[in-house]
Amino acid sequence: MLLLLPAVAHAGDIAIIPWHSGNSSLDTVADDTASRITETVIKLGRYVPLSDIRIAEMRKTMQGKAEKGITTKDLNSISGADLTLVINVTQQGPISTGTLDMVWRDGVSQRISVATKGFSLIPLLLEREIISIHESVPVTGNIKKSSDDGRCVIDIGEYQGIKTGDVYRLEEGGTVKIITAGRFESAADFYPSIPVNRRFVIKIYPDISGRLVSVENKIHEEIVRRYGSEYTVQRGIPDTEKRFLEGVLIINTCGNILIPSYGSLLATNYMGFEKPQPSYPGLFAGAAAELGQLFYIPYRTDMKNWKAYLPMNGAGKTGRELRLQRYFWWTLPYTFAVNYCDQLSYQYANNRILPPLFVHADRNAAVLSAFIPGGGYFYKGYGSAAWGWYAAESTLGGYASWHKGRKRKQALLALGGIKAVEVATAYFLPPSYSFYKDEYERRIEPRIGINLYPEVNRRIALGIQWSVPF
Amino acid sequence: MAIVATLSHVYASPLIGFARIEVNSARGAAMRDLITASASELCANFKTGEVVNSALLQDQIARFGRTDDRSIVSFSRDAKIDIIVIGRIIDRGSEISIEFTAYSYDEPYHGRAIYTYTRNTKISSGSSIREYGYIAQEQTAYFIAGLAAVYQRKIPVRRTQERGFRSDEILNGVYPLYVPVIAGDDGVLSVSKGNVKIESGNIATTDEIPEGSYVTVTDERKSRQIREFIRGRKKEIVCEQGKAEHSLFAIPVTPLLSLSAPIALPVGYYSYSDYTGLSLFTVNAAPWWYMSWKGIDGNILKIRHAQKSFKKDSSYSRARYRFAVYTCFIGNGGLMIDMMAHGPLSRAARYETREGYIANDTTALVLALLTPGGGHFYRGSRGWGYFYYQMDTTLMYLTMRAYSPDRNDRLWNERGIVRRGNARKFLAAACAVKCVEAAHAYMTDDAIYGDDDIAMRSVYPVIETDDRGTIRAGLAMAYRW
Repeated sequence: MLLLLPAVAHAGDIAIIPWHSGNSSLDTVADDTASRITETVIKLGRYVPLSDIRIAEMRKTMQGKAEKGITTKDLNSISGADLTLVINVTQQGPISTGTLDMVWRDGVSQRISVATKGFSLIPLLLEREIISIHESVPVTGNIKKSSDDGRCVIDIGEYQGIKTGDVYRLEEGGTVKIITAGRFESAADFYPSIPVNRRFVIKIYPDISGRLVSVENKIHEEIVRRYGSEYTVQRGIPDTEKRFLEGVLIINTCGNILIPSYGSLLATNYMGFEKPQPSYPGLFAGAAAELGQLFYIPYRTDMKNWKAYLPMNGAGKTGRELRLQRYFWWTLPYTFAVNYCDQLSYQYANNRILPPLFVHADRNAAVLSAFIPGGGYFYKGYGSAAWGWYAAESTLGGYASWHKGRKRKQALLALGGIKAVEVATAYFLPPSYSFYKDEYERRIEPRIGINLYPEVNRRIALGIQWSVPF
Repeated sequence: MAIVATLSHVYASPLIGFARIEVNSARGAAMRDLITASASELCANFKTGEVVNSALLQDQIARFGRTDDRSIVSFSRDAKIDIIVIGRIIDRGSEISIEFTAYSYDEPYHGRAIYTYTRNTKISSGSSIREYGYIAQEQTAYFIAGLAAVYQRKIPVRRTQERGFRSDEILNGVYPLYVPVIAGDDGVLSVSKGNVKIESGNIATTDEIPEGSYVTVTDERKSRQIREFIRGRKKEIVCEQGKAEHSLFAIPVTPLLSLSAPIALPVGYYSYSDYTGLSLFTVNAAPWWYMSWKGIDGNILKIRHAQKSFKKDSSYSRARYRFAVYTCFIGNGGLMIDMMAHGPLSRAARYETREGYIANDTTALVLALLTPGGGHFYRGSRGWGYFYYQMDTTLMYLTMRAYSPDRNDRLWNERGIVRRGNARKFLAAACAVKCVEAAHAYMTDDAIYGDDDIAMRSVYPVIETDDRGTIRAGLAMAYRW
């Protein structure tokens, strides 16, 4: 089959043929893909799928000709439909590939391929491609018969989104008014009139956004089912939200009290990581923050006086220093929590695991950001940005504690604004985990690039590179 | 068609077939069988139709050889089945999603979809066949009720000898009139020509009505009967009968609940794993708790000596102190009711247990009068509950500030809004809101019925980015809870 750009799509019948290679698992995936695409085609209403029995007959005919090779012309003559889709699923090692060959009646063809590490995503990824293709498919109809007064019966109706009383512009010029719309046929008046059996095109396109969002949510759920911590490191452990709360409030806090900063790394064991690898920048940043909070005021006042280390009067502290020290002590649990989130985020990224409850990633990120500075950003894998939020918010909080009056109110206002922005952006950000993004965008699109490279004779050569992601 | 005669008129009830209901689990398959059986029983009892034997229908469709939607709908036309139902039951572990679409080839539908029913029903993994049966019956009842309310049954219109027009059945009222347009391959296409008034079957019109015209009737009365029946039945199954003692018991208990709230609320939400409730409570109550904490000057021990503090400490706020007392003894009561009611209402909605103390109108009224938002929290309506909680608490705080002059209260002066002259207005507003809240809580339904129509969710615009960073604007729907 040739790889060509598609022409303008014509609507009508569609044959969705899942190819059976003899491998029962792959055939099942192909059947499932066909079922999903059939349902999508019906919902979008631009093509009418042929029945299962006809599809089975076509596949039988194609299998008889498979050894000699099947051209687009053969396929059109076997199928007889306006559009023929052949779904093929193959597997090489851990990579499964789903291929969709589309052939229109006029001979134009297109091939779409997706690859993933597992079968379950292939039907959803191919369904997403079909939805995208429908975005540019108009309504095409035929005049079946006409009465003496010029009123016509047309072969489109509610199935294609046509509504009673609506007036539509035709691509060829003129308008059509729908007198009454049935499911698959309608009564209409054309201005100017059109002869019987003539095809016409109405430039209305299906609204794919709802369907696209729905299938993307299912892709997201499927990726979570494969990589989510509830299905991997925390498999069998009930109530993952409680475990996370206990980890943050109790395990991590006690760990940090015993061993500042490193306690957060050890506490990741509670979330299922048996041999956690440390995120050294996070460890150092966390240690610096914790030690700074504990020792900054004693450093400013009198390090030899024990009262300098506790949030109480004495050791020559001014009112400002005492307020700041109280602020530092009150926000120490937040620093512990940020440390913990940073170490957890590193473990998740390193081990190619998604955090718990990632099905509702946006909501959970917003909630975490509301309670922990940068928490939502850590949750979605943006470690550096999260530390930035923590730094900004803790600085503003410290400034507000240091000052009184107008400056304090301004700082608190700015803090509230920053927190609102953080929560909102945490909600809308896409996850940054590379393995997640790779699975989410699995269409195989070869990329062509030019590069320079040294040859063995020390000459620099110019080369053209063609790469396919997997 | 099944024909049922009543005292004054004859109605023919439609033939209904459940053609293809896709399932993705054994539990879904069991639910499908229970739904078709329940539909048959309900339609027979309420005379809204006759359900074709499901197994026989599946067999005939399989023999027909074509199982796509278009073929099934065409098959229904040939088999003279008035309403064909196609759908799916998706088992998602903790909830079951039911999607049914009813089509008809009868006039005026011509194959169109009559009614789409979509529900997500919470169900626990340990549910038994008893719960499945009840849930199936409930969902079927709502589906049949919705279908009966919208399905338009055709009643032909004929010319009389006196040159007037008459419907084939004796009707009284205003009905939509349909006239034929053109004959298609699938039947005669017709269009609505407005409404006509019919008295004892005679059509009051001077216009010419073409041959082949008809009027249509729906069965809204039976729809209401089915809804009332199933809701009453559910209440009997999952709720113990309410007693006056339950309502009166709320009066002495409320202050104790409110006092224990600072510890009981977070622990309670956490132990019930109700994290939505925990988040909502934190966001809504935090500002008022902070105000109360400032009211006792951040020191619980000061409550005993607060009266002395008024005279000694010029920065002390009388209004905040009074507000702190109000919060301790009344203000948190509604939140405690939310924490305690959410679990029993959820279990009752899933038919898991028979609960006492819920679904009592008088108790809702008493709690609405005693606590801010308590009546709605008792009913399971968190949205309204938090709305009234914020309204009541804000008005109470403003009233107390207006009645408690403080030298250091910048807002309290003769020019400010919080002055004694406005105190009575704030108090009157608080009482008015309380009366509205009480009446609203009394009339609100409990959140145990499974007829939250997904199509009736509130819709709001949303702007989001996709994984490519492209800004996408669209609409989102929010659950009511």
